[in-house]
Amino acid sequence: MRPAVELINVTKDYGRVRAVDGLSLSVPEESLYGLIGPNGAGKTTTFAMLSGFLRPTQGEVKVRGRTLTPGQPPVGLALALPQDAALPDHKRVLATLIYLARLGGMPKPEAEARSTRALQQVGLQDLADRKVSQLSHGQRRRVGIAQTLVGDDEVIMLDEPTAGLDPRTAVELGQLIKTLSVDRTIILSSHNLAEVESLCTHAAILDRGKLVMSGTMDEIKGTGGLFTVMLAKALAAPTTVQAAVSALAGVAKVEVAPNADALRVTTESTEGMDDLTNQVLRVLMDNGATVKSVERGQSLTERFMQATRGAGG
Amino acid sequence: MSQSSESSAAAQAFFVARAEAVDMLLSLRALFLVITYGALTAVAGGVANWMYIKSQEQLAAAGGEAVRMADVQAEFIKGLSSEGWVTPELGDQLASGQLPVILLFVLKTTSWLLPGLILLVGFNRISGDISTRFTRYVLQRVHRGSYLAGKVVGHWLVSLGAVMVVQAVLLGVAYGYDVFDHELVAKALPRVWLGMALFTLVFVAYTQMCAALFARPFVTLLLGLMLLVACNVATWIAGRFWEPLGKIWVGDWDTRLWMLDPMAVGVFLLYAAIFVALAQVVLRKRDL
Repeated sequence: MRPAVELINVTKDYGRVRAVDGLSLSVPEESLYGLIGPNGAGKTTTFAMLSGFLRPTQGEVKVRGRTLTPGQPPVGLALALPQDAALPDHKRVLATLIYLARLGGMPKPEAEARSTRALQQVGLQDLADRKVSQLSHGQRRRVGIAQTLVGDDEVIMLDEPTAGLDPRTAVELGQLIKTLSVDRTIILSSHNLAEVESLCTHAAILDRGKLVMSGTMDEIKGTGGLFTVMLAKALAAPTTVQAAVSALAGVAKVEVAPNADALRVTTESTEGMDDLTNQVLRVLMDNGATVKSVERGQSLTERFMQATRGAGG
Repeated sequence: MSQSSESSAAAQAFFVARAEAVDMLLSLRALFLVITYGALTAVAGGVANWMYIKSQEQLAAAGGEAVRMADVQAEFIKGLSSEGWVTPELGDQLASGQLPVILLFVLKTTSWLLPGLILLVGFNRISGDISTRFTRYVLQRVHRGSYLAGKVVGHWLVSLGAVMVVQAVLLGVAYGYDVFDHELVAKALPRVWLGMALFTLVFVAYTQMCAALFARPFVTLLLGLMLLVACNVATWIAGRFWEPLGKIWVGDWDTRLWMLDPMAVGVFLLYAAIFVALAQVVLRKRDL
């Protein structure tokens, strides 16, 4: 499958400061791709280069197979929600969306209909005639998202879409993003790891301008060779349980949490994970343990902390 | 048709220009230009009329007959030639009535401030978009060249429209005054307006070049005005030492422009092209 978006050895310098350093990324079509990293990792700079807002110092950016002229936005190929761009205060919400849609060459009746629908999608239909200056931060953010929904663009880039939103709106927006990703590629930059973990099919972790990890969410979380059993209460004989589980065929390593209420099992291969999980659960129950849940791999937060260890942000 | 489908560059530029012109009209910038330029022009016209009346009174007091406007014009042109303001060739053209002196006087006196007014009403049209990063919304849909062309055309149409409205209204008001030779003015007006189209185009292009270059609205306004003054003063001083140097800036060519002298038209077109090209280069290279 052709990548929807590609970065090939891209570097961006701000004077003497290197914000992005030889970054290569490939975003598969119809994926929901999370771009994560600590502050100063180069997420927003990367995002701005993908959108054509910034010119890479070197390297190549391709959107749907077309190499972008340095600094030129992917006009007609993708639409972006920029992080810190303002909409004109004096304009009305619906009029702003229609204006932006018509800039892209959409006929007026279609622009009006699609803009109205986009406002409904982000739950702002009642504020269509309100001036942008009268909107809250979260409402402006939603108008920003609405402008990416007006067209049929197959690639949508959202830079911190839920930043500053109240939890309910953020969850609703997350659901909307998930729905939209069914037939298009969405690149999402976010600080909210739980959000990325629950929404994204793929992710890339950046640190100090470099790519430290990328792949499917399963690959990143290491679900292939690791699972954690959470217990309702602490094990009575943790050493015994640890030894019994270690003795199972296919188990490479067993770690018991310090307060003995969780067991992390690393397997030798990804084959027969389900059988092995059942065997481990049987050992636990034989030893009087009450199982609360089983989680494949590590949480994205754990992987993020490992991958960006020592980072300032 | 989807939003993604790329419309032609010309269609994009047309849409931006139309939106720009409408926005400037709604934001009362055009009205501001009409009022300020109108006030300046009215004052200049009033001064011209006052000078004419005074000259008539002085002649009458000295026992002379009332002087005709054509004679005043001839004397004025002599004065211009002797001061080096116009070439003998240009003096002949003025004397033949191609550009009535009253009109020349008004245009000449107001042209000092018109570039500044054009800058004042348009300085933040691009730089405002850049500083708020609204360009990030706009320029993912429109190519930068179309955006610039649209901004220039929209600003130009509003500026030229305001100038023509002022001149038309004031010419209508001046219809009843003796100082005014209606036939000559009517003949000269199409040339003057074509010249004004080029005149305003140069300073609109200059404004947008400054806006693309400096990006912050206040800096655009401040440095734009300072550069305008510096260009005029520097070429005037340079021209005192070596005449050709005095002609490298458009400021020395406006009188000829209003008579559509081909050389002056070429100079104004050249400057408009230079400013637009510089704005385009800066905008293409700029991080948004």
